[in-house]
Amino acid sequence: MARQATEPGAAQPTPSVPALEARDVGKVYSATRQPVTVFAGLDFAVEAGTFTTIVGPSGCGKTTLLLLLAGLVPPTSGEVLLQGRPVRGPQPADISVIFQDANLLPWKTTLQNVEFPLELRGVSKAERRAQAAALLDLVGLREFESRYPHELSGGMRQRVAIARGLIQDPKILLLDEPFAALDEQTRMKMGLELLRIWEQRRKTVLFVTHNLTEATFLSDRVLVLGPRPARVLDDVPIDLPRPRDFELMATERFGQLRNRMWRLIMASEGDGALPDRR
Amino acid sequence: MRLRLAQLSVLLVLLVLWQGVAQSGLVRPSLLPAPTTVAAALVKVLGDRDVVRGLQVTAAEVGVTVLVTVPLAVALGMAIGESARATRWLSPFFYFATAVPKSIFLPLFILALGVGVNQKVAFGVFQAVFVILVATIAATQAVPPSLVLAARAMGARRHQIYWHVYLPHMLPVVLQGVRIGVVFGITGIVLAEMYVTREGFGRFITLWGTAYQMPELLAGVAILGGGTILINELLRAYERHAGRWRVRE
Repeated sequence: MARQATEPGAAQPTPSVPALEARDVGKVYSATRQPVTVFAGLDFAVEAGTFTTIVGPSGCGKTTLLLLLAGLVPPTSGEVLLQGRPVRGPQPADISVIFQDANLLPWKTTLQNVEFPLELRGVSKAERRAQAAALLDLVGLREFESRYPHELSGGMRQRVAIARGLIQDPKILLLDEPFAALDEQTRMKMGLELLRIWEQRRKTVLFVTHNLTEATFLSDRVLVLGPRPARVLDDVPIDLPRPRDFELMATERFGQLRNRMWRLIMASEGDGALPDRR
Repeated sequence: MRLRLAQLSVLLVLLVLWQGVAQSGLVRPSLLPAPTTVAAALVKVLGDRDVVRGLQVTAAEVGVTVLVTVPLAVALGMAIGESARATRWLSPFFYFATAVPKSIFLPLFILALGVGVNQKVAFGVFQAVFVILVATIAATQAVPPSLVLAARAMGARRHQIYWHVYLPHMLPVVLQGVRIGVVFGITGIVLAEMYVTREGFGRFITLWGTAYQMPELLAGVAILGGGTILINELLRAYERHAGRWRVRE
């Protein structure tokens, strides 16, 4: 393969090209009588292999942002770049999206759901079955492979969704409040499991949540969004050691980082509410 | 299609009662022939080439009606159901149409189409189409946008979204509409045949009825009733199979 990289001055793909980038992204919903500006002039970049979390108050457009980054919704202005290329339309080969409520197909079994992205690509049954089985091993659900979604718990469904996301073998995983519907305990366990998978597979992860503890615990970096029209209020590097465990949450540094974001969100909402008033 | 023992015994008790009443002389035998007499008539009627030919004609009309109605109603129902505006504008009329007793339109069909097979099929379609249409509109609107979004994110193309998301999600409800629609269609066709026709099974029902041939008439009822129940139950079995993923309350 004749690599152009040897030629001086030639445009070369350098490691510094971000995995995903939002450039001056704006989104206005004008279907209603009063057009709603969800965000305007949003700028940020996500480096390959990192775990980045987006937090913000409820209703600030986090989900819309994720759909925009995934190419499922077009921006009104600006553009989204995937490894330097503009994103137009879904990018199933590069980006997997994991939704808040798993969105499994209820008439498919666990195994069939995990296989589904490969079925869409026309991969042979034997091949996709083998891959799906391996991923069900990874998320610890192999013995539930012939169950239907309604027979699984919320946490299990979300693990199936993660396995289904991974089978696309994407470079980037976008997760939209994937553990929000789960109880506290399951939520933390799922977080640890996600970290384990991430450390094993080294995908670029972009995680959306409104839970600051979860954000601090999981991430390399947290982007704090303000209320509508949302912009990036703060870009917080999470300089906590990895691999992480529960003990970390009792440390002073953890509290400092979390509270820094908390103060910012509270202040941005403008009512000076104390965190425990909720 | 699970005929339980209890239900079977109820049927048996009814038949025995019927036989007893018929043999007791309480009712005129010409009005209420015994089940054994009806059974004999059933065998005789099914051995009659003209009757069998009539059954074939009716069955063919039902078959064509289904082949025309189901694709038509499903395609139209999906097209309407996918647009919120079309649904708002059009679906009330289809709801009204399902409520109207459609037999009153039969003379109109005869005036427009004569008394041939076309008229029977057209009237069958008219009977069946609205209930399937209404079911399809409802089924289309019930497809969760979140599943469509997830499928798009996984790279599903338009036809794949229809095949893998819309179809399986809609199938149980559409089948329910089809099942009721087919029964309506059969009713319409037989009614049209009873009203005026040169061929078809409905003609024999009318003949036996006007000639006071009670055993033959009841045998005809058994054939039509049995056939319709069979079709209904087969479709219901499929409907249950297609809908077994739905969480039962």
